[in-house]
Amino acid sequence: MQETDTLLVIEVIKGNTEAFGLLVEKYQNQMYNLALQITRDADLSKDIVQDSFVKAYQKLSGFDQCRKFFSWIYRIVLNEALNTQKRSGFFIRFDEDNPPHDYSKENNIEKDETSLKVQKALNRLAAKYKSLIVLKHYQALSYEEISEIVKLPPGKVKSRLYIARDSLRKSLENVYNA
Amino acid sequence: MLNTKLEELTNKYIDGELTAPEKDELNVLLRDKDKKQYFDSVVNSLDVLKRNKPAAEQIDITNSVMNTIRKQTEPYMKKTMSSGFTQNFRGAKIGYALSFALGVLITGIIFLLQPGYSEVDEAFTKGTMSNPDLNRTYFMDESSLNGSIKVEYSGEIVILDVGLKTSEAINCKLSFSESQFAVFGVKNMEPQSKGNFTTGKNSVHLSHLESNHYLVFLRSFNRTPGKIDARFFNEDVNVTNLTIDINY
Repeated sequence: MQETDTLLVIEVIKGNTEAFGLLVEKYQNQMYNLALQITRDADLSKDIVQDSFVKAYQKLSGFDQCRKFFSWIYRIVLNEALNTQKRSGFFIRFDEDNPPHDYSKENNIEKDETSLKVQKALNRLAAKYKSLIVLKHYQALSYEEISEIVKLPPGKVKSRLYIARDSLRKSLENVYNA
Repeated sequence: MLNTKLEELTNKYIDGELTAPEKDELNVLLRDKDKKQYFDSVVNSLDVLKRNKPAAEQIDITNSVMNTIRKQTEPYMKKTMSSGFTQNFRGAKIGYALSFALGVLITGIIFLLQPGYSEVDEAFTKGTMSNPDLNRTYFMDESSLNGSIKVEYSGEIVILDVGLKTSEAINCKLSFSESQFAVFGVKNMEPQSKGNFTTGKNSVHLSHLESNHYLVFLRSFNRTPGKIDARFFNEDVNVTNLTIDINY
């Protein structure tokens, strides 16, 4: 997988712009779901992923080919999603007539409320903890994969995730007790 | 107060990494009511998180991404040379040679027609402190960095105006060649905030860019072109790099 990606990157750098389309096609769904797991906003997530891929193309000439393209684009999307959410003030649209995008069951009010609480609790975490929670428990990445994305040694990722889990526990308790 | 051993074993349990002895050790710890409560609350919070994971979806943005990229990299239209000049000079070599000669001729005419340089009145330049023609601004285009770094010149002093409004705690390390530059001074324009800076022979470290505005003064030994590397990072995580060109 990495060899294919590296070959495609080299092709793009040589001037074959269309080769970048293959990378977009390959990773767009995974990146979209990452952005969605952070923002819970479908339209915003689409914009984030689009902007991230365009940004990645613009910076491709500076890309270290010893790294995995996968980790690199992950990092771009992750940062973009976290910072976009910060700028929007964690606004979560919730309308009983128009429930959040990923919950379409009309009578599942209890699940919708829980989903809101979970989102609130997640949003209260510092970006460095929230990103680890999403990468580990939503994206199901290994410590080594996360380490490459966040550019921290696996041991540090682990210890930071331990803190993140405890922070999530406290944050959820606060949201439920509020 | 959290039991560190309990925390470690709880997290190992979540990751499925407990050895047999560690399982036994955890079971012993969980006989304590408070520790069991902690363990349950961590495990349950992750269960709630996972049960409320947004459903996986598919999109297709390939065309829209590629259209944006194509617009940005559209090659210049190749003009077809349909002028009489190329029609008359069919041979490529003759064409290039005559084009070159014509270019030299035109350049010579322009040069000869230039007015002579007049001596710059020394009195006029006395007291001139900055050269605005050299000034340059780098606008940061990173999602967590908002603002710009301005480069200004005042004689042999290069002034870096680092006024970034970052959305998270970010530090900056400026690195340069000690044979070209030396630190002349650093000023924090927000002295009430918690930022600080340190300097070395070939670097300046600025902390807490989110709430500080720094002016960095470097002395250029030879007033020759050079580069300053700026690295922006949050603890151990690199955010972005920038190369600042010093153009004397």
